[in-house]
Amino acid sequence: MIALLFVDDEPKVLDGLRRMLHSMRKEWDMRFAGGGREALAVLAGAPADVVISDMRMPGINGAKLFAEVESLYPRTARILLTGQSNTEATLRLVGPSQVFLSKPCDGMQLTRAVNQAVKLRHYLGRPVLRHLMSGLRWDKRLLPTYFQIRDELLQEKPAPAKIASLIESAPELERAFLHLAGVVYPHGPRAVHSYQAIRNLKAENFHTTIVAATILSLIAGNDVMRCETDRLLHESLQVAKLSACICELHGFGPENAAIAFLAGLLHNTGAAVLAANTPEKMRQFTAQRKAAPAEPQVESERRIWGVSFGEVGGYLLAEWGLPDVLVEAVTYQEEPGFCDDAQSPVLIALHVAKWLSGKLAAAHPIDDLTLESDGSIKLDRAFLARQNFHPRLEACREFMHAFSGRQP
Amino acid sequence: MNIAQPVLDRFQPPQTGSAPLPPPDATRLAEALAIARRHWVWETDAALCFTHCSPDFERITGFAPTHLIGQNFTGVTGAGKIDHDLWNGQLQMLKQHAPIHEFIYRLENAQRRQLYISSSGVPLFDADGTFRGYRGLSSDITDEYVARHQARAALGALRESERRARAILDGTGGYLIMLMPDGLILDMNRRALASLFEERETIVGENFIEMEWFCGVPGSRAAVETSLAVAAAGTPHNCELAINDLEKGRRLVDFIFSPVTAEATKNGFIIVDGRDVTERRAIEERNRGLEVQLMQAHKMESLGTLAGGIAHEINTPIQYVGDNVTFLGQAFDAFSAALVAYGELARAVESGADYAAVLAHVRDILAGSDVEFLLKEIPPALKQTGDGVNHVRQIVSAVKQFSHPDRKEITSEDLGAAVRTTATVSRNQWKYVADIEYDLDPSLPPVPCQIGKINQVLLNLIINAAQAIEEAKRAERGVIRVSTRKNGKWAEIHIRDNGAGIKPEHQARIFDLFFTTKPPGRGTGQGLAICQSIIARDHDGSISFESEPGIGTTFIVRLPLENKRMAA
Repeated sequence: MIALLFVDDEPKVLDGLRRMLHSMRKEWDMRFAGGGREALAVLAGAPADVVISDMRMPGINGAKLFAEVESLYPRTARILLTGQSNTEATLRLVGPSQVFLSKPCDGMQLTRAVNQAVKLRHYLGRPVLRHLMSGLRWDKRLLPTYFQIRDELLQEKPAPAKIASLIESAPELERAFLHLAGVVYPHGPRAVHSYQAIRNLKAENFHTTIVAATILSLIAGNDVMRCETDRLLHESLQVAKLSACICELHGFGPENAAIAFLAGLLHNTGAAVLAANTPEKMRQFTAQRKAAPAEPQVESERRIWGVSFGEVGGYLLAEWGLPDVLVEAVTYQEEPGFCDDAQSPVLIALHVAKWLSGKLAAAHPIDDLTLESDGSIKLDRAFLARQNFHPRLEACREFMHAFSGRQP
Repeated sequence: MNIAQPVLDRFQPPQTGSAPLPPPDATRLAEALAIARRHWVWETDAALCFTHCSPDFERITGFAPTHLIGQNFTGVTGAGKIDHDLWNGQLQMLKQHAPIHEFIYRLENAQRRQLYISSSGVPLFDADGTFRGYRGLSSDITDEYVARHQARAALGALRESERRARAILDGTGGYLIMLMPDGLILDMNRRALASLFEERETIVGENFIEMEWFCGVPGSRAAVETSLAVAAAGTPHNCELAINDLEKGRRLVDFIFSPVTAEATKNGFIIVDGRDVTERRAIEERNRGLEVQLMQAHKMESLGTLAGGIAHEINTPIQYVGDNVTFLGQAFDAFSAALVAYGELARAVESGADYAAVLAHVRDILAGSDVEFLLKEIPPALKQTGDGVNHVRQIVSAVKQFSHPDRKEITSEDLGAAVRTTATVSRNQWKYVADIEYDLDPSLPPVPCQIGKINQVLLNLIINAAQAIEEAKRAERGVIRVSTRKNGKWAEIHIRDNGAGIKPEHQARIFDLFFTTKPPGRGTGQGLAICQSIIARDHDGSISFESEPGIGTTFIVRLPLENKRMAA
């Protein structure tokens, strides 16, 4: 049984959900609360796997409730079900929830969102992964800054000056931010200050950039892996741009493109953290890649660490409160088939982008898109076919040339 | 100034070829001089040092004549010289031993008063022509000198004042014309002359009404004639006219025709003072446009805030209507499955076959679909679906009522309905912090107003009330109480909140445009300024407030029950 808690200040909404989801009663244990305070009381009685809440409520609103849930019950998935439209873009990206659903939302969408959230947590909660993660360390100095920036972004009108001063409080963050701002906004005036960079960026880009910069700095803050991060950053940027291109090319919509871009920037999080924590294993891994370049990379990863880079990255990103679509894409980037029932454009984009990027790095003939594997990542054609994406792969040729032209 | 001249003439050396003068009668001369009390006679030696001074000197200066004896003429005059160049010129005369005339200098008397002295003298020669000195007459000319000086200054001042007056006339920037009561031009300033390509000398005496200004401007001559007639009768009159300024083109001028009576002459004349208001009118026109834009922008801003809230308000009922409909669909499926099963059971019973298996199937279906739950929940599901649809309908119709009349005309409106409409559309702005209580007077007659604008005012006041309650940060929900009532010839709307109140130092400024105490993003400080403009200017009503910090605020909107503009 999955334990669910629904929170809304409108009793009729709760009534409607209770009736509609009555048919799920054999799989779901559903509880209902009329406000934030009541919800916390219910959770204190017995925790839930998933909390689904409205945003605007009198007293403790959705954001405050989720912040409480995040600190009290980190394993509980948080789904926002709201009619709020003005801050939607931000809520999707960095909201206090991991899943964003907008009202009106039908039963199918809701059921799928709940199931996927539970499945993802289940997958990331496997003992092998949790055991590995508990032994890892990374620099956490920037986490408070990240959460402060996130809080400011969630304001109705975020103050650029305040965000800039938060960014400037950490030099590695500022460096990463200015660098990324230049990448996202390549044709604009070159920003020398964070404030200037914030003003230059469009709101959607800005959110993506700032979140990516913070998380990259979180990773790069560790001295051990400085040199490794440069290589990873270069690849991350390429995958990010490819992912966003794929989203745009295939009409996945700007909000998916933004998340796909961010997913691309962050998809190497796992590799970076493992390189820093287990340098000996990383050397072993590099040697093995050279010895058997034809073997899919993910198999080497599993042999050495027991888990994939994607899973480690996904675990961390989930812990940092990033949206489920992004966590899912990073987690399953190499093996999308594991996330079989997903309808995630972001996962599709990231998987294909990662594959294309591998082809570019290996200097494969770009036009030959039929080649099964480039030796690092295996394109899951069966998955793409189920997602009805495969026929459109041909369209990627157009921008592959552009990308190969920029290769050093 | 030749008072001393006849006297001096007596000292003239005998001139050859003319009749010898009788010898001076020293006694009579001294008498004459003494009577005048302002002259003394003196003599110097060849070195120009005084050797003799008549006793009158003492009467005039307060010093004994001996005071002067021995002093040098150039020293005395040099000490009191008035004009250096003039004095130098006189010295040259002395050096050349020539006669001196009206050598004016200052001399301080015993009372330390400055006297102006005029000295004239003739050189004295020996028979062999050797220069012996001067003999002369000095006069105290202080009174004349001062008077003459003042007169000169006064003359200068008069000219200056004339010049200034002319400068003022010319510098006004406006058109200034002086007319006889019959319209003949007496004078005009430079601006007016320039606008007609005329000179003062040629324009004087022309008839004002015939001026180029009024050519081709229909009705202007008639207006000028009227103004002239009224002014000639003794009352100032003004009119705004377009004129042909030959220099600047078509200008819009505000003329004042003022009658002026000159006391000395008794003859009256008329001053025509014309101000060029072309630019000002253009700016006023533009400002009116800006004001309309500002109000429109504010309305859009309110609507933008509202739109987000309204979307949320509609999304909520749509959510539960959808959920209930899904549930009813599921219930229908369960019931139809049950009905089918019952049908099979009925057929089995009718056919007399063994119906035990069919009955078990029916029981399974009933158990699986939780019929009790369905039976209990279907009626409220239907009711809430209806409620939801009604709620959406209300919101939509309130939005329509709220936003439709951008009409300018004044119509009779039910203020109570306006209050409810506005509260409905703005519900999302207040429902999280407060409840609205209504106290609407059912006997309040319809009020003539522009309902769209009144809704805008009510919206502002309700949102302000909600924000004030939010600002107070009390534990319990606040209350916004909206009441309407008739008060004499006025309809009154009171909007009372138990929010934070307005600080005394802010109370005087809350209606100022762009004054706001709200954080950025919550208000631009236009709301109340626009409310006041709408109520006071568009409706001849008034808007006021009573506020106590920590207790709350009441806004009172008063609208006249009889509106003059409606009748028009």
